[in-house]
Parts: sequence; C-alpha cells; structure tokens
Amino acid sequence: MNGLLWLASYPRSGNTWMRLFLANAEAGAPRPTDINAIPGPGIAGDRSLLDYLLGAETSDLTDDELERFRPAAYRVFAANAAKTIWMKIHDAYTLTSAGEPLVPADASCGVIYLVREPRDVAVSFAHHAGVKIDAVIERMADPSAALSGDARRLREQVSQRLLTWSGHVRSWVDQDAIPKLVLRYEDMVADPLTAFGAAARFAGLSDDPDGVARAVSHCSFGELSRQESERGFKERLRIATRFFRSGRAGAWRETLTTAQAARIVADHGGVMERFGYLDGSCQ
Amino acid sequence: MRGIPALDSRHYAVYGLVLHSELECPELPLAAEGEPDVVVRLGAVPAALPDPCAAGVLYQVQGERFLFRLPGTAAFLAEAGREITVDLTPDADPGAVRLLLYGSVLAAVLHQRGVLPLHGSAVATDRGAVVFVGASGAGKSTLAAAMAQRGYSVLADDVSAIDTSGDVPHVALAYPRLLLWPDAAEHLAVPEEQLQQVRKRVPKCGWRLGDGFASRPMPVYAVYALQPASATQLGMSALHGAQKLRVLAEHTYRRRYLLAMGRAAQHFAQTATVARQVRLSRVTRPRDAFALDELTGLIIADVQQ
Repeated sequence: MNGLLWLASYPRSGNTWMRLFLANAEAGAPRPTDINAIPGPGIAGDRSLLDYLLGAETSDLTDDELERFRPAAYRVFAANAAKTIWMKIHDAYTLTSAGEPLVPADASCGVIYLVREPRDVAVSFAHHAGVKIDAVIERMADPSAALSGDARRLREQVSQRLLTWSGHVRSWVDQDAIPKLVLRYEDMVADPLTAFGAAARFAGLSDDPDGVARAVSHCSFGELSRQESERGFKERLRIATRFFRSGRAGAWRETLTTAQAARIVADHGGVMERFGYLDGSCQ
Repeated sequence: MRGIPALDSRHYAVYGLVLHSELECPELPLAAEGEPDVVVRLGAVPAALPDPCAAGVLYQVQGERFLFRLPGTAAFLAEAGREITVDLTPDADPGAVRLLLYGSVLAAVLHQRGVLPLHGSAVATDRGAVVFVGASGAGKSTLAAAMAQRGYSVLADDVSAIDTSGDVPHVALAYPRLLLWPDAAEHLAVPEEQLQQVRKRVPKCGWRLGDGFASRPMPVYAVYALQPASATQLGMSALHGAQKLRVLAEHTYRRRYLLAMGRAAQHFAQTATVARQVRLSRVTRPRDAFALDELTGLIIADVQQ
C-alpha cells in the first residue's frame, strides 16, 4: 500500500501516542522506540517539509496560494514514496479556495481519525499551550480557529485550519473520499489491544496479538513519561512542563467547573452524543 | 508586460554574480557595466519542459533547464546558469516577482553554476563570515538583524552563496536587505519607516540596510545551525565529521533542485570542502521566545574565543 496514511485528530487527542504505537509495531524490536526519533515526516503543516515539496519558500507565498498548493505538495510526496508514509495532521478536512480537498484522495491510502472527549481535550490543550481553559473552550467553539494562525510571525508550521472541535470531527468522520478508521481515545485507554490492533491492521502491519501487545507496552503512558523525564520530548512546547501529562480519560471532572463543562456540552452536544460522550459510561 | 516597466541595460551585483537585467531590481546594488555572468530577459517561456527529469509543485528540471512558475505572478526559465527568461503575468505584483527571482530562481542558477547556496544569513566578524543556517522559522534573519544592530555588517539574508572554488570557502555578497516578520521587527524596535512590504498579502517586510551591508565577500569562519527546541535554555554544541556534512546538506537552499539536476556529486564535494575548513555548531534556542540578547551574546563569545 503506497501513499500517505494520515493520522488525523484535533490537537491533544492521542495522535502522538498513535504514531509511537505504529513506530513500535513496525520496528517489532525488543526495546521501545526512542520518542525523539520517531521515523517519518512529522506533521503535514511542517513549513520545511512544504518548502521542500513545493520547491519554494512558503513564506514568499500568500496564505491562499499556500493552501491551494498543499494538495499538490502531498501528491509529490506520495508519488516519491517507496512505501506507506504515516503523516500526522491537525488540519480539519476542508476544501481549498480552488474547491479541492486539502488532503487529496489520490495521494492517500487511508486515515486513522482519533476522537477524544472534548472536555478532556480542553484540559489537556490548556496545559500543553499554557493558556486558560476558558480560552481553549472559546477556541474549540470558533469556526475560524487555526493552529499557527498568527500572521505576524513566521512559525515552523504553516497555518492549519481547525474549525470548531465538532467541525473538525465531522469534517474527517463524514468524508467518504479517503478510507477511514475512527478510534476513540477512551477506547485506546480502556482496551488498547483491540483499538491498536485495529490500527495495526488498518495500517497494513501485522496484528499478531503478541506483537501488538508488545508495541502497546512500548508506548504505555509509563514508558513515554519515563523517556520524557530522562531525555525530554522535542514536541513539547516550552510553556508546558510535560507533553505526556496524564494520559487519563475523564480527568476533566476534577478540573473543569460545572459552567465550563456545561459550555462544552452546549457547544458540542451533537457530536459528543454521537461518540457516546453524553451517555452514562462517559459522563 | 504591464505592472513592471522594462528597462534597458541594467547591471546588478548579487550572490557574487553580475546580472544584466531587463527586469528592474531596485533592491540590488548596481554593478559596473561589462560582461555579465547572467542575463535576465523579459519574454515568453514554455508552459512546461518536455520530458522533465523531475518536477515539484512549482518547478520542473530538464537537464540544464529549470522552469519555475507561480500562477498569477510569473514564470521563470533559467538555462545553464547563464540566462533567465521572465514571463510576467499581466498585473503581477512586482515585489512578488523579485522575491521569487532573488530566492528560488537565483538559487537554481547558483546550483547550475556550481555555487553552494546555504539556507541562511551571514554577517561579517573580525574572524571572518559567520553563517546562520536553519529551517524557515528558525530565526536566521532575526539573529542577523540583531547582529547588525550591534554593528556587524550583513553579507546575506536567507540565501548565503558559498563559493568553494578557491582555497577557502567564501560567502558572496547578497543584497542589502533583511526580511523580517512583524513580530521580529517590533521586538528589534526597527523604525516602521525603515520597513517596506515586499509582497502584497505577505506579512514579512524588507529592512533596507545602508551602511550595515558588507562591502566585499568574506571567507567563512563558522556556521551555526539554529534549531528551535522545547528547552528553556540556549545550547551550543560543536559538530564533527559526518554530522557536519549532514547539516550542510539539510540546510542547502532548494536542495531538491540539485538532486533533480543530477548534481549530487558536485554538492557532496562542496559540502565536504566547507565541512573540512569551517567550524560548525548546532545552536538550540527556546521555541516561542526570542532570547535574542543571550543568543547574540553566545555567538559573539563563541566567535571571539
């Protein structure tokens, strides 16, 4: 299977965890993969990667040009790939101003979309970015929200449209152009062998239970946390104390105020209900 | 041809080359008349190259021909390192045309001519030129601007053309402008009237260097590879052997063109020459913080030690 296998999610929803699992599953090694040496190109919005694929300085381009050229950049990447490439992406699945999907189906072999309880996302995002929870909740409800969207500074990543949290989920889960596997973060925590086994299968790797179990243990929260304590993690923002912070599901109950939790439900109730975040098991 | 007036004979100096250009290039220093290295003409270029050996999103390579096209702005055909034909889109933003010419297009010409363009800015010190290489967003131009404010003259911004043909690698003079993003210009307290928009709907600005631009090419003393990191402190570590080669390859400007041009062996020889003669260190700086005073201090101390 050639082309790009997208690991898509709203930020702080288990994307890095999934990438580490796949790296460990592919390596099949007796020892865990170094978290700072995950193979692959990194994130789809990486400016250097796009500079390289376009053969131009993305910083010479307008935002509109850059967005219109991104699908072609991913096609070039896929065309030159000798094997399946896993690519992390936080962009929502949107159309460019030319009416073309940002993520082109003809360069893609599939997408693993990870969805996480938005109340936990809010808590995790606030810690990661060093901002107030209310600001994150605001952002999760803002259809124009973007990562690295500040036009006043040159960032290592280009601007990436997030839409609202609900909009992000729907954009990927409801698209039919690219074959998809949708996993809930909570299921990855509760029953990792089943969830990650499905991911291995979808990614074209062996789903042999022993191999999956070993890869899961190599990217357990304890292992990732141990590695981060010893050597740090390059994807952590300076502002955050840790990238791998708690990894738990349901931590929002201890952190969010009633009003904050209610606001998220008011903003995203429809999608939350669809993914079982409003029934008894996750409430 | 509307939008940009075509002038007759114009001689400009950039990246160690003399350009004779029909396209007006007000940012480039004028050069004395004489036999130019590169002729820039206005004219039609083909929509595509026949049977290209490589193609990216915006460019194609076929032997000694390089085609770059930004729809709505211009297409450029660079041939054998000697000729550039510019096909302007009617009503193209002249700033955008020149931004592409000074960057990707002249980089292709440098590759064709066997000059090594590093993705970095360079400033002159008593010991020689120091080059700050790094990915887009690493802080190269901002650091060069901070050095300029401390009295170090600037040789190049973003593209440092390294001539490896002589005994010692030299950095050629680029042109007297630094490109800064609004937050960096603000942090450096560059007066607004000294900043010029380089392209409509692109936020980065040109900071015109007057006396702060160096007057001649200079041997390379050191290369610093800037890398934003999640660390809270600055860090510097000297690189050796194959690490140096890897970093120089990684920070070669438009490296993709080179491979398409079949010039991998030439490039390896160039980077090996630089690696043999020049100190190279990796500098990590906190992501999301300028830490400019500390960073310039660290560089200056390292150069002087």
